[in-house]
Amino acid sequence: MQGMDASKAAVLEAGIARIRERFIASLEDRIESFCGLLEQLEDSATEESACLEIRAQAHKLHGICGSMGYPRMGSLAAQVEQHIDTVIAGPRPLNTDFVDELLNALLDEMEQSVDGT
Amino acid sequence: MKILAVDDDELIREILSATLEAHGYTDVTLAESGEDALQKIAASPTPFEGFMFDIQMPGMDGTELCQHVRQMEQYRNTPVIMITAMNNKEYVDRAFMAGATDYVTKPFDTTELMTRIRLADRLQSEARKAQAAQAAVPAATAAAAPKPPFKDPVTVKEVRGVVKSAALDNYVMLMLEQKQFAMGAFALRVPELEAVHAGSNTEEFTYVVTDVAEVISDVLVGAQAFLSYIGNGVFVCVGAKNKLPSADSMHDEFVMMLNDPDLVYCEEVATGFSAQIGDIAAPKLFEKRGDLRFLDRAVEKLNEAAAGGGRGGSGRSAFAA
Repeated sequence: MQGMDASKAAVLEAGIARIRERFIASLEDRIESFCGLLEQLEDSATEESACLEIRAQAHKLHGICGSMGYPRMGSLAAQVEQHIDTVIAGPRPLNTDFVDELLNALLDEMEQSVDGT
Repeated sequence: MKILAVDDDELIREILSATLEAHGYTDVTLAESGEDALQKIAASPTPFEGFMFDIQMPGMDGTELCQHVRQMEQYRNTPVIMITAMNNKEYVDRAFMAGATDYVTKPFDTTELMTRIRLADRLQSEARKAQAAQAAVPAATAAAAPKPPFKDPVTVKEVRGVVKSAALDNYVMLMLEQKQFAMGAFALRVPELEAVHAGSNTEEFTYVVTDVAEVISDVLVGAQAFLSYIGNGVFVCVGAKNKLPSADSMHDEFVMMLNDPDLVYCEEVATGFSAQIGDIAAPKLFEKRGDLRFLDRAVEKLNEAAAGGGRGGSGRSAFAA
């Protein structure tokens, strides 16, 4: 890493590794939350609020995944986020079929990452 | 540099803190929301020298926070780096309109992050030196101090879409990186500003430049463009290429508005205003992302357009601070 001596780089690496562990540990909760929101997507009374919450959580995931060494998960999260922006800007009733598909793909990736550890 | 970093994600805050600390920035305060940030700003015994705001946060978002901070006199010119994981032009535009000076994208690239921080650090330290030098000059001497030359930029405040030259460069780089749309830029000059500069003091000149900037902003309102005054009577405007007006289409309306005393008030120098407007320049295919040479070409096109008036020659870098 530029601009750092080896000892500081090692300290940073160790710090990032600790943050990565906590990130991995947080994945199960994130998966559980997404699963609950998937159920809410099925109900027309809650689908819009569920979409917005999925977007908010996907946005956070998109922001952190790359730094934690999970670029594919980050990319899937970004796709969820972007697609929901399109859906929300579109007509009502919302068509959330593809949100469901994208989110399931993201959940698969998250589960594989948890299993991989 | 004393930094306040704001992000609603705890892990991101920790990454920022660890990265900054490893690079020698140990005076870092973290906040988890816009509201928390304002409390920490109010409670801080010494002012912060740099800010990092996540754009999208629940409650008060980073853009709104930036607006609040810019309203505080002591933070009018403090570097504000926006943190964004999004590629939504609307969010980014709002952030720069609110007074952001730079950005970093998530996920963080450590080298890129530290480049931005060091740049902010350098700007802040230059601003501090300038302030100290100004404070050291006795009031009587200061009043008699020579005004900045005509070739220098002046800071235009609180006009929609008008940003400092460095912020304009940063905005363009972000847009080029994200490949959101084909960008274009053009430059325009109001030649009579030279006479206004010669016949007025710094404050009066700044008022007139601000009025002119407001007129440009009004003319460009549908184009969602950003502009900056780079000195020598020249403004550079940037936006989506297909939304920018051509020189011919905006010239007459622009000149008419410039000469409306309700819009551009100039009592120091009796003058009518004219305008020279260059053609639109765009990035070339072979140019790398982050290559800002098309902004220089915009000024060259202006100089070509104005060549009949004998004003050719200078590039944007020659004007910019």
